[in-house]
Amino acid sequence: MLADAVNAGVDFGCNKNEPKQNGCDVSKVDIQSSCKVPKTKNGIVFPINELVNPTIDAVLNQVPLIYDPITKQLLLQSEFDELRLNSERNGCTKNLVLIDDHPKEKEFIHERKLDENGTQIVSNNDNLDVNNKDVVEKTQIDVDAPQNETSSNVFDDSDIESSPLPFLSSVYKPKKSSLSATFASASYSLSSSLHNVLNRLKKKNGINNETFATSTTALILENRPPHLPAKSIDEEVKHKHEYEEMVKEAKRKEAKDAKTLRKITNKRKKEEDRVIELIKVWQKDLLPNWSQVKNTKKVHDIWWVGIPPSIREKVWKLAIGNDLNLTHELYEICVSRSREKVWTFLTSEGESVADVIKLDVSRTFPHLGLFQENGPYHETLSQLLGAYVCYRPDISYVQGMSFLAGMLLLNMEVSDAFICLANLLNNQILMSFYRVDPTFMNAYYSTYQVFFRENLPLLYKHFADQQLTPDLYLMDWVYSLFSRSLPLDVSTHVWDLILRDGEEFIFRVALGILDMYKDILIKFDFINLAQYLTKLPDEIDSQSLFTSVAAIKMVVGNEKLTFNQVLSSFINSKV
Amino acid sequence: MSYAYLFKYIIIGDTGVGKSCLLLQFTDKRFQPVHDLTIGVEFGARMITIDGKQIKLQIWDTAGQEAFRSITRSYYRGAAGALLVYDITRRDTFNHLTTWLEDARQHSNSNMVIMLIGNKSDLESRREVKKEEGEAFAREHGLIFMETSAKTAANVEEAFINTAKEIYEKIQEGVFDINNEANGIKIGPQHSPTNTSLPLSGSGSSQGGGCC
Repeated sequence: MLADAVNAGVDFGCNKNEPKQNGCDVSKVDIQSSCKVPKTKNGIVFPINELVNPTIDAVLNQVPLIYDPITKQLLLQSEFDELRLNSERNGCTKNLVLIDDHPKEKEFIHERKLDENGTQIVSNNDNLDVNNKDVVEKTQIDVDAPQNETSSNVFDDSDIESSPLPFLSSVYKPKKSSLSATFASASYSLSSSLHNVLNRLKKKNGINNETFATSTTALILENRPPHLPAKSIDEEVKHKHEYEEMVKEAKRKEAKDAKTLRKITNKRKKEEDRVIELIKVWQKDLLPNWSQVKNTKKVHDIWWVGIPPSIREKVWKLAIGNDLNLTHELYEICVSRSREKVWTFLTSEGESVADVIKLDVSRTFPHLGLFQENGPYHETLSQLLGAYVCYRPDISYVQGMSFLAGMLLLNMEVSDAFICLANLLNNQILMSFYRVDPTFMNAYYSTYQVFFRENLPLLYKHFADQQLTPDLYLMDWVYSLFSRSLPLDVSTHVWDLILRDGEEFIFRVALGILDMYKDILIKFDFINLAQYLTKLPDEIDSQSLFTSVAAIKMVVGNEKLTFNQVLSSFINSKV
Repeated sequence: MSYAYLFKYIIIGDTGVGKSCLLLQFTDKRFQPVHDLTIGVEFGARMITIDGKQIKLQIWDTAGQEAFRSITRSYYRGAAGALLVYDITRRDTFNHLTTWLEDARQHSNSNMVIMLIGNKSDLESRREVKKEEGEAFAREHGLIFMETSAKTAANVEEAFINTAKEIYEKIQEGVFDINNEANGIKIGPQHSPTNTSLPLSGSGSSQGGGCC
């Protein structure tokens, strides 16, 4: 890197004010001899052996380095000094050409010839080495360029003076602007030589001893090479004007970007402030008086936007409650019993419960990598599910539970998760689904259909025409409470509200999903509908889903029957 | 896309034998190293060509856990083909085949073609069920048999397509009553503009039209 920074040859061409016919004074800098630090073929050698017990830190401390803010590279102090010395000796920093020790350089440049089409012919110089090839490419650019392009370089003197490192700015800044200006002016056809230069620019950090042309500003402002007629004044004025336009445009874009960034930052800040405010309200006003305020409109409104993550655990535990009066000790007992028993449990068909749990734990929130084998929560989740099997051997483990337990584990301690899981599964809807009780399951499906028809009559008819029954897509949504089918942040928000509103919210979300996609769904046939709904798109965002969910009415008919009333009527008619 | 016939398939078998992976390999030609679990039922579809005719396969991929057996039973209705899958590295899954087969026979159309699949053939070192055992079971119960690997895609294409060929032959032989949708066969939309059952015109050999 160090050598490269120095070796990158820089041809600034002529000063704008110099008479063109004088041409560029090509000068040379011999890197090998200018370096005080001993060098080997592969790089610079530092006197490490002078140090007693050399460590990397110690060695680095011995190396005199200078940071160049323009190239963002570290330079050796010695190389930096030598470079400046040489350029001062040349008397014209802008005419500096750094060529790797090659005596033929001057002749070589003069040897290039033009054919009648203006295409460059390089005389077959036997002395050409890798470095000279670079020069060939450089000169080819000059010639391939249209008439108004030159290889000489305009340098704004004020620019140099204002720079903290005037010399470096003249050496390195051009390298950057040369490339951007090449694109900006778009005057070059992408000739092969340009490709070569661009490629080399890309690779430059890896290649030593390079030499190529650079410019300080847009190429459009450059003077022509000495062997070509000078620009006319009109042309120069025009180019200056064009250049100014480019600069203005760039500044405009910069300002616009800064504005966008400010906007995003402000928005984020506002969002953070909002959450902080919410947390305060939850902690000061709501949680201490939970039993009195939990059903008030104020709480319900604040709940709708989702519970702030830092207090979610508290609210979930309060909302799920503990009707079963389970204790942490019970969890411990179940865990120790499960060690002896669960792993030998078999179902009536001879299916091993342990095998199924083992399989499913690894398949729970697979994208998170938390519950998979060797994941941090793999054992915890297995243990939690095993404990539940011991607690309720009549229900045992049923697929879907691992997602409920996993969701709880993501938000609370394992023993709390056990208490919450058991209480959650004790709810009518989950209990009837996990027991695969057809009477209740069908009552829920039928109730759902009533609200489906009420809210989305056209889609309801379309589904009926396609013979798509609700069980085909609702099962997954109910069993895992959407945690398998919606993105984690969205399903967490959905859980917040299921814990607020109870089971009817599950079906409200289901209808919200249908509402959100109704324009697509109405065009689908059976198989497309079934595929779409059992594998929802990944990019669902909470806001649009909740907008749809908010629009779903949970009362039907003139009598304004509630979900529970409709459900009861179906259950009573079947039982 | 137009099709001449639509066949409904159902994939059954113990949990974790690779039912969903087989489906994904067949429909998307990929294998997902991060496994997901199926709750309820999932779906897949693909068009294949047999005897120059476009046939659409509509595949129902069911949950394997025994707890859901009663639900799975309701999905047999209207299936023309079933893939009964076991895992060659887990003998348990092979031992449960009899129960699965009983269920399938009892709740499906008697003409339903059943393909027995020993999956995970890439895991030879962990094999617990010999290929010959699978073959013997299939012979004994009149099933077609194949060992597949959803991971390497070995035989996956063949398993789905051979099942379709068998169904197609049965149609040609007139064993299947294609007027009766309960058999799991639908004729392409061109023949059946309303998408309901229709009077059979000729052999039903002409290409279907319209859009599915």
